Amino acid sequence: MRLRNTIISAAAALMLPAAAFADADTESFVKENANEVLDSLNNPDLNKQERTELFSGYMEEFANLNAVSRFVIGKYANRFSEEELSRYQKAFKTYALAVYENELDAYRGEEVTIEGSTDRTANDSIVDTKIARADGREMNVRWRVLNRNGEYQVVDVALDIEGNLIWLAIEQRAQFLSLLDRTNGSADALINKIDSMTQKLVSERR
Amino acid sequence: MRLAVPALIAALTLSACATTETQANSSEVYDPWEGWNRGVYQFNETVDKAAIGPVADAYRVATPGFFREGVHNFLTNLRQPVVFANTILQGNANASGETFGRFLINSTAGVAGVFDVASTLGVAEHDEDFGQTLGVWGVDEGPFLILPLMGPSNLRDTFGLGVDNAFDPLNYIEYEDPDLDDQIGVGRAIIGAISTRARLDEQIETLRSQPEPYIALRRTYTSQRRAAVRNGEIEDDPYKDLPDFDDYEDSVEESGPAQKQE
Repeated sequence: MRLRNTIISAAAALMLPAAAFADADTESFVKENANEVLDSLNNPDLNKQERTELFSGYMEEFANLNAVSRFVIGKYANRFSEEELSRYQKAFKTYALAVYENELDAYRGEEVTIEGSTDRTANDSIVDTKIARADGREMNVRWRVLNRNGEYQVVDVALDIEGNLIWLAIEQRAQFLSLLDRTNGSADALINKIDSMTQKLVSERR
Repeated sequence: MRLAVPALIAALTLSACATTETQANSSEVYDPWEGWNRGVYQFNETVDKAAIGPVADAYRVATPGFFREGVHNFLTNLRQPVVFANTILQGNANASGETFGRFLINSTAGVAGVFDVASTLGVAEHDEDFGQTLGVWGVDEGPFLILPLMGPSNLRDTFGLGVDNAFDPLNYIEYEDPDLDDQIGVGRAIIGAISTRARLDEQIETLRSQPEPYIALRRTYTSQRRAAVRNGEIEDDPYKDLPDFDDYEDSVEESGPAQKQE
């Protein structure tokens, strides 16, 4: 019995620093990359197209848009043909980058502050941040980060709106699946909808 | 009418039992009446685009911001007795004190509620209703419901609307001219609808630009109400129901096809 307790204590002692390291690493990954992304939107030397290209480049490294694009269509990721999936993923990436660019534009040049983090598992963490806005408001943003073979990537972002955590990919998934269910899984219906939303977002860009 | 209230409570209790299993995942919404709800949603959209929206636009164009703010403050102040009753029922003494204080300050120094002096003095505002009170008492929300002209709700909150109406002291004031009672009630409802619609304009436009506005409305309403029952606190263990991404990650090139899942 004593031996068993000793083994459990030793195992716990070994696991604790591992969890703490995972947090610190994930937190610094989010801080560095989120700040880099916000800085890319605040460079006065860039024109509109250059800014979008720089921002998109950072975002594609920061976030796993491939995984997100399939997550938000759930079972339909396996039902689309290869050609449909390829067209859909291209449309989705353009759309997702436009959403992020428009949303994060309000925070351009601001500093991301780390508030803490939670490890769901050794390779799945949520980093809690605060970003001040130019208008004085502060936004609580939570980043879900997966560690795959030592490489971190963001798969979802949550906004805390008066105690209501809105996860963007989960909300998108609910709507995309409903649209696909109602159109007999039509990839074209979804792609057309995504393209029209992208056009609207781009037209609203500064 | 006497039978209607116990029947509704019974329906609420039954649906509460029925929803326990279906709401295992906290982000899911129980919507057995989706067909009806989608129909009412379309009806509300048609009425809003044809009448309520344009009237709210005209109100926004024709009146200055401080006037609209005054109208909103006035209407909010009229609701404070209902908010106060619900803070008492929720056993929230701090909120009761602050709501009572706000009502006194704004009704006097705020000139019948037109100016929100209490907020300037740092007295916190609370927004409680009987739907939230039932939620605090542990009553489940029941099926999602869209009400004609009034928008999203659920069985619990719809019942709460009726109780809040009964709490409202203004409904018990009787004037010598009986027509005046009705005119005040109808006027307050119409002005309230226009004022609220004008304030929600941006959110309604955002909702309409979503891929599936009905689904977005259903999810947003439900999660907002759950947060309101928690008084704006994030739920305990908010990450317990987060979905797995493992099945959606692949090792193929970007934009390449997904690997088939078993």
